[in-house]
Amino acid sequence: MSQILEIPVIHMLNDLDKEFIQSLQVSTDRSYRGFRHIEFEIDKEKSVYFYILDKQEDYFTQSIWDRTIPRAPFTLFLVEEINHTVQDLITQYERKYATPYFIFIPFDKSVEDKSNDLAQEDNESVFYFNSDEENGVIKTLLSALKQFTERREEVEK
Amino acid sequence: MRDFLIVSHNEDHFHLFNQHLGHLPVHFSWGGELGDALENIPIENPAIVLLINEDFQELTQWVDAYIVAETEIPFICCSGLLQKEKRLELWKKGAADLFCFPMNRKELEYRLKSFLGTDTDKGPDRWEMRGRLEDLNLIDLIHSFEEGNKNGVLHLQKGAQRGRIEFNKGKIVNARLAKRDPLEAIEVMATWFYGRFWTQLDKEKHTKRILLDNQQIILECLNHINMQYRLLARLPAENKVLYASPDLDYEEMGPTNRNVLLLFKEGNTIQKFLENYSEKSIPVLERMIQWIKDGWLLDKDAFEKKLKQLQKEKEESGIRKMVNKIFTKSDKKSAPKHPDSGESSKQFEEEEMAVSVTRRSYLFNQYSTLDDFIQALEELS
Repeated sequence: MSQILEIPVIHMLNDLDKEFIQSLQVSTDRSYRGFRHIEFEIDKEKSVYFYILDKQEDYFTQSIWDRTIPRAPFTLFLVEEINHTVQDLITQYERKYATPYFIFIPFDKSVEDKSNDLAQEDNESVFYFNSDEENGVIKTLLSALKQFTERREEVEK
Repeated sequence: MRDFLIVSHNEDHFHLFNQHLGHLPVHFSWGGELGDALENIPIENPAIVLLINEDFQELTQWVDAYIVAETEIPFICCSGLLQKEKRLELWKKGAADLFCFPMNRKELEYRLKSFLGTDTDKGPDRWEMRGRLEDLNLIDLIHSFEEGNKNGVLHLQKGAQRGRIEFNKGKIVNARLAKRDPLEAIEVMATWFYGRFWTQLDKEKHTKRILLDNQQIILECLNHINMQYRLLARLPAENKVLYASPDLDYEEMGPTNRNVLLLFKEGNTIQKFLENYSEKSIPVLERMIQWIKDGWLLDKDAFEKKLKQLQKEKEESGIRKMVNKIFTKSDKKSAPKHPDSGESSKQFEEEEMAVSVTRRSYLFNQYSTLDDFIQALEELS
């Protein structure tokens, strides 16, 4: 029986395709009303579904958010940088949803202090991913998943 | 009016001649370096060419090249103080005159006047003139009226702008350009180096509204022109396209700033702007210098970058608006009502409670599958 990991994604990237989609080996890419469905197949039995949520101000889109976010292990924020707008958005998100989140930022290779290994900010929710590397996002996702399970184990203790 | 072409590395020399000797019936024009000047000489056809160079060796090379060009136009060499042998060398090459600077201005004036020759086109028809401001600027024309001691009106036109200067017996008495003060009108028209002019002689005694005499007016105009040149030197090139920053709040501005900046909204050059601007240019040019420092006027690259940034902020604010809307709607729907909510701290607690009540619960519970995914992703890596 196949297993699916569903991750809602809220993005504020300049070029979603270039900075996120193209760094995945996408097996399915379909747009629906309210969201875009990107499937990454790990193997024949496991897939990751990224739900890129639309940002329209309508009731239908709002309901998509309410249906996907609470059921996901965490939400992914894809942003260029953490600025005032992003912080506001995160604050509002935290007030509305109990679902934890991670922030993924495509890192600029021209910045010398970022190594090829995925670096993590002091903020444990922030990860950088290499959008030019094949499946760069997936490697970052793996790190985020590990941290997520570690956190959960600590809470359970 | 004779044309004297100035050839030099430094355009300041041309401005100096204009500034100090502009009252002579001479039209100074700027030829640039020798190579450029030789190309333009057949078109400009000056009466005299002034070769100005502080470096004697280069000056002699220019003279040799000028002679080879066979323009048949007399040339005057201008340099620093030269010893007798060097002066003789230039004389032998055929220089019409030799100016060694520094030189007393009166002496320079006297020596230049000797090249002016006699005016052969005197006569009653001479004063009914029309022509281009590229050939004769306002100061030249004022001199012409003064010399002829004439009564009449000098009309000038640049683009859609039209002005007039009234003379009584060769003296300026009034000027009109839109609603400007007469002296201001003359100063603005003095900076018109493109356009056309025509004269209209009459016997009318025009009303005197300017108290300065011609010489003083010309000095004011020269000061104005110089100031404009200095300000233009601090601005980007006149033909460079500049744009008003896309995030300017025009409503917050005064009318002058607003009117000027709106002219740059879709891109404009300083040259085109000045050609069409009828108000006094000096204050606006000063403001432009400040606007460039403040980022109100941008070059094309900076403008496009700013547009992109604003677009991004707009999109981000779109998310914020949407999320605010979502949150506000949900909070309003389900917020419990408390009858005794008069004090602010109580109100705050109530709001917090309302938020937690409306917060969407965390429903994910398939933690075991996450371990499987982690393992599968590790194998993939």
